[in-house]
Amino acid sequence: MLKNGVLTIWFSSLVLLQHASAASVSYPVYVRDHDQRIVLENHDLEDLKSESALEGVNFRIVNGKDEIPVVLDQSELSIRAASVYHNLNVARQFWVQRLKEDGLKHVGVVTVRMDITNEFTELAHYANDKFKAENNDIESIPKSDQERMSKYAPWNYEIWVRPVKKVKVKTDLAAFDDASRNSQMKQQLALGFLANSLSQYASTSMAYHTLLNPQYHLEKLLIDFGIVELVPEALGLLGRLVKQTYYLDTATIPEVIYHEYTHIALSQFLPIGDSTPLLEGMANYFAIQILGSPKILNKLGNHGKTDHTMSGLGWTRYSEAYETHAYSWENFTIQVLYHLGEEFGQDKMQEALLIALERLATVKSGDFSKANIRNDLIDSIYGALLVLHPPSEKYNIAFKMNHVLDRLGL
Amino acid sequence: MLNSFLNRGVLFGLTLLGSLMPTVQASELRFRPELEIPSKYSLSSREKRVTERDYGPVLDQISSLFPTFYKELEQGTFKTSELVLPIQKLVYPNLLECGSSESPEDLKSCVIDVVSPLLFGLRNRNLIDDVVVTDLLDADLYLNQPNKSSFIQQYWNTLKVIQKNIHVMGDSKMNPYQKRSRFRKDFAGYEDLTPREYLYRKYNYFQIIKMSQIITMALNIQSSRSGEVSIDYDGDGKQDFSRELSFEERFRFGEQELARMMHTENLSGEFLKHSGFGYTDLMMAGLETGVLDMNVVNQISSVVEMNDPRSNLGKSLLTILKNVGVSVLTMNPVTAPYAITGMLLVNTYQEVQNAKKRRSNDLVF
Repeated sequence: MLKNGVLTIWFSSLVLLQHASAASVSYPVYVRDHDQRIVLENHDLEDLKSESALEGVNFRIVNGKDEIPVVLDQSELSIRAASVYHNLNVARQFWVQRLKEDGLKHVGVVTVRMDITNEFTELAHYANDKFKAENNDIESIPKSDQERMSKYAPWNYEIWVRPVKKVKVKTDLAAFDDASRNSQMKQQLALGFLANSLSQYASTSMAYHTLLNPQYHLEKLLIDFGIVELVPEALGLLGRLVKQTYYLDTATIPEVIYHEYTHIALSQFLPIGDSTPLLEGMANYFAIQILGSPKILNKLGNHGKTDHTMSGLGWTRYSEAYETHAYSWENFTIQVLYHLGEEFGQDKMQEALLIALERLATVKSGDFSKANIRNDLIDSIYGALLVLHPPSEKYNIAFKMNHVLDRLGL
Repeated sequence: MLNSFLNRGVLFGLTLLGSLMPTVQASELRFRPELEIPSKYSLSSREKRVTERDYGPVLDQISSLFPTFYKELEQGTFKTSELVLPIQKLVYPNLLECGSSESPEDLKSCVIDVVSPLLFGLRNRNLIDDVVVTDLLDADLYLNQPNKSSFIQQYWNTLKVIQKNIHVMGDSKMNPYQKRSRFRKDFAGYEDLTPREYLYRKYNYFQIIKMSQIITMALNIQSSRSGEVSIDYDGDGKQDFSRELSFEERFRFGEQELARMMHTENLSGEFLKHSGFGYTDLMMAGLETGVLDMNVVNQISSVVEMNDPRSNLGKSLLTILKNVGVSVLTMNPVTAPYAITGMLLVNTYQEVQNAKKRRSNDLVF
């Protein structure tokens, strides 16, 4: 009895010590300002275990495959790592309010690996270094399965931040430039334009045994020649002028971090790793909510160059293709959720989504690759909204939902 | 006898608001003097005495049911049999006499003779109103028509709701259904009626309830939780193929079903045959019976195309004017090039708008 009591006091003091030792350090981090521009500002890094390294109660930031936390030495890496740490804390605060501490118990301490280029494999954790290096991206990693957990080298939830690398991409104009240099295409253009001009010349000369207006034929031939030879060149030149580089410093873009933490926070409902439009759209919607702006990947400045700004504001019409993996990063799901949120109130919508997720998890037995937006997501949200409103509101809810969904072509 | 009661019923029916509306919205009602109930149609004091003498005990028995009925209605425990069946039971011995009637007309007349004193007795005691008397004089109601019982129950429930709602409705100044319309030519002498007044003038309580049932059914489909389309390939009674409907498909099916039900009711409905009721009447009925509130009505108005024949005159005139204008502009050689350019722009705009409305191909509704 006495022994048990002593043990309890010892454990309690350990817990207290752990919390008492949680430090807070003011450090420059990348955040969004009121105009949604990414700026470097000093913020407190909460719940750190020490003032010198990025190891906290909930997050641990390491470099690559290292296990040693990144040191706060004012280096570029430490600032990017501190930004990830800070924004993860912001996202966590959001989810603590909605899921409570109990709802996040499964998350544990999340390890963030900065600038790691290896691919992830479920068997070995890291793919071989010789495989293709990953850049300009960020990835949530599910924790190792129970069998591995109990044997050796287990890992908990992780977020892998890929390094920044300027990559040349082909724009549509550049692709046209390439194609136009292809002899086959030139041949086809010549057939189209020059053949017409030549046939007119031949028919006129055969009919009248002379050219009635030789200047006309010459001009036409020159114009056609110009079209065949010069227009592709001009387009190619234009294509080369259009910016062709792509890069993304995901560590410094707050909403990207919110998006990834949402995947982990909701991993009890939504499995990590399967990128479907439903899963990614849901994470994007919550990223928008945490950010407080309907647009993400917007106003990146020198933190990235991409034309893939995502927004809940538009009214994209539904297409069956939006249910497929290829369109996981399209705006459609965010727009459905955002506009429904505008109709019912964003807070209510978040509440409804969490109820809907529980229902979806039951209906689809956790296999979210089978869940689609048009039937499963919408029906689950409708059911959740009915739960959150009095029964007398049923017709009203149905009409409000139709008001949004009809405009989105569902 | 039958004619006198029916005539009385029709005239009473024209003053449907006699028992309910004037108490609340007297200022809005503009009865034509000649259509007010002439005093000669009211029961004379002698008739009242005779009714009380002959049916006094029975009336007491029925009257005793009413407080229970209202109390249970409020508690939500009211059952069909509690009001309708006792009345039927009480009049049944007398109705047996009608069993020997030779023709349907005789039978109907006999039933009216038996039932009407009882109903007028109830009316004298202010337990039911004139319209109820008129409608309950329907002879079929008492002759082994069990399906009518549930309808009567709904009638009573709705009557109570109407009585409650009338106060609410009267207070709503923002209600578009209180606005007067000048396109009410089909109801001569009442061009200046609000849709609400029009409803009570044109339809009896049973019809109003039927309309509220129609719109409730459509709304229930639109707000349903699931639904599917089933196909039987070979007529063996087994569903060989089924497909779930999405929320929006169910919603649109509700809209289509509403239009279909309205058409069927207008064509061959038991209560609303050839009544020509439209969306405005439906919504007004829904509002009056309490199944709809103004929010839902506003939502419906924005979704449902209000193809009320009564209110399409303006649209038709505009279409004619537009067509004539376009023809004149295109035929005139001076204006033709400009007109064609304009038409091209308008048509392109319309095509773009239509493309926005186009839905995915795999939708059933």
